[in-house]
Amino acid sequence: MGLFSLIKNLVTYKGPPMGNQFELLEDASEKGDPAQISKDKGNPPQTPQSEMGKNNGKDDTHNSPESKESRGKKVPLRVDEWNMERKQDSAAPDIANSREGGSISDNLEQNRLRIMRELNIPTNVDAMIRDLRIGKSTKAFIAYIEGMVDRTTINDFILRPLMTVKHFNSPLEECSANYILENILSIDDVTKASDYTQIISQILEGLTALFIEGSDSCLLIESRGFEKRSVDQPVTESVISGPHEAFIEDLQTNLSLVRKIIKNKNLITEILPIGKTNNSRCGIMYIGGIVNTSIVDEVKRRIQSIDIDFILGDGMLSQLIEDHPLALFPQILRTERPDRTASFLVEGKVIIICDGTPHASIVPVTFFHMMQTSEDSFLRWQFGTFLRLIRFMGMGLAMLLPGFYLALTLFHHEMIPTELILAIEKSRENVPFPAILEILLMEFSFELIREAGIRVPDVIGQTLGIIGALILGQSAVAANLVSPILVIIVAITGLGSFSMPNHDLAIAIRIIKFVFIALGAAIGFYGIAMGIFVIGGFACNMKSFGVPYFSPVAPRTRINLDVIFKGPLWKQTLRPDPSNTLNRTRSGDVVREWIDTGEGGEQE
Amino acid sequence: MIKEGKFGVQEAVWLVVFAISTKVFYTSPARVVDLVGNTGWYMTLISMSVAILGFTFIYLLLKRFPGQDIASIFADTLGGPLGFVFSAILALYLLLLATNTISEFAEVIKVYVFPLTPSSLIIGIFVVGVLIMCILGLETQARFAKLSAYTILFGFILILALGIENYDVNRLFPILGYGADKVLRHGLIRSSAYGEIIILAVIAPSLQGTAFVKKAGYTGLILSGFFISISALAFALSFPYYTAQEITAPMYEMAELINYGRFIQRVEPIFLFIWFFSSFTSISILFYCFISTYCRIFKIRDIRPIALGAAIILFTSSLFQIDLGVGAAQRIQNIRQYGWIPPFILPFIALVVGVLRKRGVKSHE
Amino acid sequence: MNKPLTLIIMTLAITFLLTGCYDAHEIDDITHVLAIGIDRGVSDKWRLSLQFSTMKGESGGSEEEGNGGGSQGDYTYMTVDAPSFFAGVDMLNSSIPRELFFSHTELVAVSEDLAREGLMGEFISPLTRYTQIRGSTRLMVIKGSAQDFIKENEPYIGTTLSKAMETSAKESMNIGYFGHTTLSDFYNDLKSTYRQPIISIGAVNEFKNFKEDGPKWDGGFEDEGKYLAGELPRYGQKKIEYWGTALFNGKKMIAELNGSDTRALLMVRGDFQRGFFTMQDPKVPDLIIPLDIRPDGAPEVKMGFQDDVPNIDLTVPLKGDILAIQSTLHYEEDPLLSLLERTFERKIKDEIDKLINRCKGMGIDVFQFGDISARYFATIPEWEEYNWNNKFKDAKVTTQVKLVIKRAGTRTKSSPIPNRREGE
Repeated sequence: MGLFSLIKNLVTYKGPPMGNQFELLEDASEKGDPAQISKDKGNPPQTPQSEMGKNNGKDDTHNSPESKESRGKKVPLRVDEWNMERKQDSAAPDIANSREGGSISDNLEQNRLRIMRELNIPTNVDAMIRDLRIGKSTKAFIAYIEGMVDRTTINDFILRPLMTVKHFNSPLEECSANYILENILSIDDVTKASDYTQIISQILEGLTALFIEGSDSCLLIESRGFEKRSVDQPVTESVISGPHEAFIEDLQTNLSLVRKIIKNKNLITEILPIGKTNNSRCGIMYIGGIVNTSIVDEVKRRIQSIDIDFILGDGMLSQLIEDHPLALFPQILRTERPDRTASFLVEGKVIIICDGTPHASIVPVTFFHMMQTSEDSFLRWQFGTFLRLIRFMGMGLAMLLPGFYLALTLFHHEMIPTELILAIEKSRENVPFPAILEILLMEFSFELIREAGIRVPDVIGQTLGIIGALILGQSAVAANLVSPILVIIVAITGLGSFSMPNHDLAIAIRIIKFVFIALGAAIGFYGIAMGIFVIGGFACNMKSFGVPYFSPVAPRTRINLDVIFKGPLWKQTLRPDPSNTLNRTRSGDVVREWIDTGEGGEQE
Repeated sequence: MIKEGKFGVQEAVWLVVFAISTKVFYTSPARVVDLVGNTGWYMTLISMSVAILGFTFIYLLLKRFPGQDIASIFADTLGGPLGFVFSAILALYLLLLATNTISEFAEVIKVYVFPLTPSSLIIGIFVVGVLIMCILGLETQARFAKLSAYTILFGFILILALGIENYDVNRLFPILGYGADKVLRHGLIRSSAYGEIIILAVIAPSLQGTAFVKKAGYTGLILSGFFISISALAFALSFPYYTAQEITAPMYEMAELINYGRFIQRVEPIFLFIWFFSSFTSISILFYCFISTYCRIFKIRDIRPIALGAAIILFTSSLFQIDLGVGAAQRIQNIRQYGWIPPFILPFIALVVGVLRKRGVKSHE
Repeated sequence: MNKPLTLIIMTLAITFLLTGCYDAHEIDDITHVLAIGIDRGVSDKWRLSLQFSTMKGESGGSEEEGNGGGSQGDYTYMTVDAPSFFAGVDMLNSSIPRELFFSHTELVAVSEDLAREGLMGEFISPLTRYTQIRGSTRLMVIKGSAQDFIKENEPYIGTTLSKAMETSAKESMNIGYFGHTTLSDFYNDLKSTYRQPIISIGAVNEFKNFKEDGPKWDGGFEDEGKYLAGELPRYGQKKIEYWGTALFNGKKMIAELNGSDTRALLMVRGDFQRGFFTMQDPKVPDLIIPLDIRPDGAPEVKMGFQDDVPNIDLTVPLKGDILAIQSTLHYEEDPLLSLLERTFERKIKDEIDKLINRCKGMGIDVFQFGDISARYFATIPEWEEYNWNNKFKDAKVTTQVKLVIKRAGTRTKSSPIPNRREGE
């Protein structure tokens, strides 16, 4: 049956198509622009004289109307309520966060019971309630989660002022929440709240809630003080020149790291809740006036519509919001560097930072972004270009070299220099395996070393990689399992894959490598060419938040020289066109105004 | 109707260039030498000029019906039944082009690279790739064409440049080949080599305006003419006319002769990549245009339902061509002689009828 | 919509793995033929000798060998008499345990008697049609038997035969005593309406011309290019040598050129790259002046037609350095310098004229004059009508050689050696 339906699926057509895919369309003003026609021919791009003409909003004239409608926000399913109902009769405490809603009453005891129920107090030892009397008279209690709060804050700045009698002249009148908020608590961030949903979630975030007898609102006092890592060096994206700062697991710190770099009033941070059970948050950052607002809307729409219980961080989030989950290539760029994040912000991208992971996700991105590092812009442009070319070469080798080797040794012997082919023939003399098995053996062992190298403890890990590869290769050759040239092939392939700055892309390439091994072994260069054709086709078909994956090369758009070759910094006057930023220019016509050209500008 | 997406002039130009000039990798250049001697390099320019003239009619026709494709224009100008016949001929022509190119490709590749591999496998792989590309859509094809254009162009120029040591200017003489009359006559007939320009009329709605069609068409034709001409020139410089006409795939043998020192020789497998990519792109777009026209004739709203069926037709017809035996390439060349009628004459008739019946938008002048 | 696509790709992958590999040849299942020798056979029409590696040298993995591997036994050859090239290959494959491949073949050696019988055309056409044999493969005529040549074809320096063959082919650029002809060159020339083919000659030198004992030399100066292939008075190790050129009339070899004539031929064709020439001192005929000669641009050929008879005006520009002046006369500067230049020009011109006349006598244009003359015809039918190969023997050729001595080497002058004995 399964086979039958599989074949049926293959030959039958099932509509409806991907009609309502999000597309980032060009401005209406752009497409009729006769200047653009000439630009497409390869003329130097004109710098728009002013920002005015570019800000006239998005006009999706050639977008089908139904796609516009279907883009409306999806109403989140009230799973939580449904959960509540289902679990009401069971005696077990409700683990899922229950958002019953409702306001607090002015009866302290009632509130106390409610909080105890919400936080499962007798069972849950982390949740604390401490009773006290404000100024020896009014009954009150504070609720917090142990470990999430800073003990000093609670002891010195909440409990001590509240329990000091001399602060309260006529206790009965002055024990109102307002009085305490304004006069007693010397803490910067105190808010009044009366909604249980909000109060509970804030307590879970690490705030302290102060409930006062007779008051129908409680005070939420900022007292977060959980353990976090200090800002450290980047692990996977280390550079030689440039800042050595990386994100950490704390959202607030991460946001501040970015804001520290871009001190702009238009840098906007929005916080969205994600994960129904773990109640995590993610921040969206963008620079108003640069970013295309439809991207921001799309990002928010996608994140808000996610209905899942647990999102640990951006790795999971990006799987849920990316355009083509079946494709191998990553469509969202993750970085752990605040400086890189900031540079993307300025290019008009949207940044998503999740609480709990030391990464920022950047959308929309193209393939070429994946091949860039932050170092490129710190280095002089010649060096940057050189490094980038090396990286592209590394990628090509990592992807194609084993497949090429197989194609050459199985099909296209004439291409190998005669001396080399005789040497290979001699070295393979005692090897019993066919070439494909040989290369798979080595590739798998190499992948094994790599995977094991991550798992083993750090101290051994460093050596395991080198020693493992060396000894394995050497003894495999000595044991006549593989021919020596193969060790070189596999080693270069491995090096190539390490040269890629983006870890996600590197894994994709490593998988694709095996596809090309199969193709190269099956039908030589013809298979490899067909593989490139089909995989390239899929990649060209991909979009990351409406931006074609291979833009700005295919489709061609107006760009700076910053794709494979990196032009001098002062030539980079445009923001990337594919993301349709509101403000296309990033600098004046003349960047280096100190150069007196005398002929009006140094450009062209 | 059919979701085809939009793309720019550059993408369209490369699609046209690939569709047209892939032929130089197959048997065409040798056949041309057989007909007109060593003058192929300027004969093709004559053909190109004729094709440019032909395209002008296509362009004028498209200009009268902005935003429409050729099938609906035929229906509009000639009326339902006649328009149907015209579009059907066009669709058949496109299928024939694709079929011929695939069988020529398979024939040549079998001769030079995979003598033992069955042609069904070679064609099968090819058709599967083309099918996937067609399902992915026109926009994707255009983008891929643009993306691969850089590499192909680089490799193409490299092959021509490395061949310089084998070039001999004297081989261009006698300059008129087998006679000026023959050059002219075959130049006119061989404008069929540029017949693939008709794809622009099929994909016209995807281009943003008729001005883009005009630009893409003329640029594409001139670029293709240039590429075909310089490869024919390189070929004429590398082989004297009497051996040139014997060779199956001249460009491949040119690559074979490259020999610089002990390392830069036997590089023709690299050349294969250029060959493969341009063939893939070329067939994909031709095949896509076939499906697209077919869908428009029968008012099918999506190409994907019929893509698989059409691919099977493509596969069997190509295989059929090959299985006819030795000389399939020759036969294809003979068929090619009449290839100029559908792409240039049909739109011309439609244009004349359209003008007479006063259909479409009047030109501004 | 991605699901069917993924399935298609998977099916495709399975198809590949099940049905692919038709043309795959594991690299250790085949053996690459490095040189092909062809003689006239005894038991059958052709005698085919194939040379290939025995793969006995150092296999990279094992560490047992200490002598750097690669003894002279690394290469071997097999010979068979067969009715055709392909039949011979299949016959040999019945005893050779690996499939023979020709894509790395460097050399096709044809024996002289085969060439003189006019069997070249018959033999060359299957080779050019066969995809594995490349047009850029080197073609040679072997004096004596090609089988012997293949037998002696060993890398005496280094261990790889292919490298040895390639580098010795490259030597033609340094000395000019033999040319470099490829299969495709020969094939093009064979069918040509412009010219006649040439092939460079190789031979096995049995060292017979090397006389260990005998009266010492006291004759006058003789040109070193006078030798024919296989006759160089040398001794030691490698027996094969490349020397001279075979001239063809169509598919039939009709003449053999010695070293000097080969140089003259290459100069006219524009293929001459460099060579040391020895000339007699114009003032002191007993002594010699060696020169290092290189072309100073391509030879110029001007054409004219008088009553259908071609008038050819040939200029060969050369440049050179002085390598030695035995007479210590002041040849570095002008009166003597131009004397030197003129003398050398005359010497070369004589050689070229002699060669051209000889070829005219045989009615073959091996100088590529026909290529130039084709410019004077508008169409191919006219050109073929004219029949250049017949007209060439009546052509009037005027030759001019221009030599410029550029440098005098590390000495700008040489002072005479004082004759001590007279002074005492």
